[in-house]
Amino acid sequence: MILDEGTCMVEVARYFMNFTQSESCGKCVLCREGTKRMLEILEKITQGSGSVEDIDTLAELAETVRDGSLCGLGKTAPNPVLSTLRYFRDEYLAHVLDKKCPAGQCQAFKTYYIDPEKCIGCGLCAKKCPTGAISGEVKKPYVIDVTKCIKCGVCEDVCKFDAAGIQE
Amino acid sequence: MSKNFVTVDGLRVELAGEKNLLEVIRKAGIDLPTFCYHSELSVYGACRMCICEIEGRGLLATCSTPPEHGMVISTNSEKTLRIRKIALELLLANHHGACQTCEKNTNCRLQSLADRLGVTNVRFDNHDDIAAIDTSNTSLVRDPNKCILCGDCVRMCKEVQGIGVLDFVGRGSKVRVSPAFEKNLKDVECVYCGQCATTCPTGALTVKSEVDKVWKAIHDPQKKVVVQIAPAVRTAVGEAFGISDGELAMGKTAAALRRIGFDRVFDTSFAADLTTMEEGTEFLKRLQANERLPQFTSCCPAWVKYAEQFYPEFLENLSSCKSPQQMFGSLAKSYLPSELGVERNDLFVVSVMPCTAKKFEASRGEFSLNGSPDVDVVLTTQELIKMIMQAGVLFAEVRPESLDMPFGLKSGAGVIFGTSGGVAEAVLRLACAADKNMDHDCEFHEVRGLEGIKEAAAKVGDRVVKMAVVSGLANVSELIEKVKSGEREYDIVEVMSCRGGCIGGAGQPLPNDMAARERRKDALYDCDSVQALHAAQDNPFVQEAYRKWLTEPNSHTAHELLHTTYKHRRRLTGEVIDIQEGAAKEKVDVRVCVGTCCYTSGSYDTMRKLMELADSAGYSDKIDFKGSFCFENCNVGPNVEVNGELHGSVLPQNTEDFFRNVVEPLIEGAKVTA
Repeated sequence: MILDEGTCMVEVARYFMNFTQSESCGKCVLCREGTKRMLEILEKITQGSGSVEDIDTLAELAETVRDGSLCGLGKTAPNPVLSTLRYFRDEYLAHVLDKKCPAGQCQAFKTYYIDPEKCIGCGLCAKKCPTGAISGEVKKPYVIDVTKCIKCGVCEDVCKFDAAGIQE
Repeated sequence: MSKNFVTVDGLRVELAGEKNLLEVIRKAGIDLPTFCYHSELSVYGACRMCICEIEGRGLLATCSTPPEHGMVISTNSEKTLRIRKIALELLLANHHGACQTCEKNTNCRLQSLADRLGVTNVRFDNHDDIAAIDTSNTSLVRDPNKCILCGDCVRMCKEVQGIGVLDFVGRGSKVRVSPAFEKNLKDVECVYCGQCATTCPTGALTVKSEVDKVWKAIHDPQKKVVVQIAPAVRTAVGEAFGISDGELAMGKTAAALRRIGFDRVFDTSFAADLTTMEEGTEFLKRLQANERLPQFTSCCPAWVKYAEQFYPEFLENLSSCKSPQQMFGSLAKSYLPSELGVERNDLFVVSVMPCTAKKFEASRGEFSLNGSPDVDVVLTTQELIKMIMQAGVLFAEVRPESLDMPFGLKSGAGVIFGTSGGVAEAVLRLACAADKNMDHDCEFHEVRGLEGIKEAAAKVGDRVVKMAVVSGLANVSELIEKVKSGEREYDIVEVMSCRGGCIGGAGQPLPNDMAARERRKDALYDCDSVQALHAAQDNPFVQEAYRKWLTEPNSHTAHELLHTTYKHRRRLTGEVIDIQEGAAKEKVDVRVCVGTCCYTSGSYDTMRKLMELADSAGYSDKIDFKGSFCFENCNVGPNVEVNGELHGSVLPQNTEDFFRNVVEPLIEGAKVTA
């Protein structure tokens, strides 16, 4: 597994927690319930609705599950959370305070947009958009309706003029 | 000074062979909270509430840590308190149901620990789907939404009762406790002993309350409502009101029940005396003829159902006597209507029992006449306490009253039916009456006590009778296996499903642990001691019952009123699969088992051949072919049931003969009658 600046550390923690949570046998309370709740909080943060209190609760849960679980799975399940919290706390804070994913990986924080300077109005993106979120007149710049956009990235893939993409 | 000690919160505690650290810490006066630890069950270590910090070893669950000399234990460190609080918060987050309307309100460990540990805020939402509540059976209610997965019920049913009705299903956060195939309790091998409910810390398993039915009958001016009170109830009903004396509690219960509106208050111990007469006489007859021995007692309905399911080969060894509850019901419904001047249908018989299986027993078809049951409603001791509280009767203050005659007078032998060894002792007091003076030499201490299996021998006439007294169904199974293998030989075996007998029945108030059972047992023997009479045969009203109605023990009338029959019962009910339906009106019902054992011995081929044979004989219209699951006759598969009659070993190669000899005649017969 290669992690670089394009990898969101909260998403990494969520990914591992998803794995351990589904591997939990369900015998002891802390692992069974604790990993489930940690996963819920991580999902909440990566989906953009987390709060600072959630980060505190997550840290408390992680330490408790590590200290109190019955077996090695439960005792180590919180490690990705604990180490990302220790070394990348600013990434967590960016998710909950600035509503941004610094690595640009979390879908919830992405906004697709079409650069009117670059768009030649070919209409290909509108044709390919699965939700019909893109509209416009031929030979004029097209626009994306963000309420309909599901952030699938098809527009970016099909645009030959580098006009559609994630808003920085 | 001993060199074997640990230090608990700075206090030196000597080790005295405790199995785990938790017991040592409790000895030091620290009540560590637990959900999954019970001294009577195996250690599970899942609730994590008893975690303590041990110097040099870190955080350990004390229930599963053996004590070692020199351990320095901190029970209330920052980490341990945090772990307990978070574990409790996590459990509460998943817990459905409002405390105020829960059957376990004020008796729930989740509730009391949340209060004790100061969990005042739950930060997580409950997103779980609401699971269906199982109210299918007569005795217990199972609400999975309140389950905290401590596994106490699972281990109780498996380890103490030896059945294993409940187990964990699924894994991770989807894990749940359920009977086999997620069926209801009614459809599996549950015997309704309810020991799972006595150990459940929350409201996930509770006794089914029927208090409202009794109130309705009391409020019906047409009905005369009489009540019988079981022996073991008197030792426990007072627990809720701070009264431990069984005789006093009985007098106060009689008074309270009259205030509530019952017309007559009787004692099941009277019927227990009758049971002793019937069962003792039956035993002496069998002993003389040397047949159907050992004779097993039949007072315990959970044991009867257990035997019907697991040991059908021993059903003829069971005493044919009804239990005291049902003997009382039968007598009451037969003779009280004329005494009280009402029709049978307007006499409402309530029994107060320490037992949840008694509810099932009262509902058995054998114990009703034209659809009207001998016992209308069974209340448990817990429900009686609730009813007294609902009525507002101040139990501690109410003056005791005597019971009504004739079914209120009992001997001490009838009273001790409520504890393990009591039935055996009562029978001994009848059988040994010729050799012993029952006024001051009536105690048989070798059958007393709470041990699971007790053995004794007594001289009856010139024969030494070998007896066993067993409680807890796992012990019963162990004993029966020994009888089957010939390792042990007995003449009479007393069986009680709950450890310690009825005093520990699931209808008794909580806590219902072994310490409570020990207290109740002693109280019950005290009740026996203060009776004027100690042997069933000396009870004048029992004698009168025989004179007036029953002639003599085991007479024809006695058999009609006081005896019953048993039947082999399937452990699981399975769905039936319709395979081919005939169009004719008169049809033969053919069910082929498609379960694993029958399948491996060729039941699919048998089924196919039967259908081909029916087709070629032109009978397809006249047969309903169905697939069925397990007739519990697995050693002689494939099994085929034809019009309700089971046939084993219907192998594919025998199918043609089977069709000609069994199925065809039925079709021909149907033709003739048509």
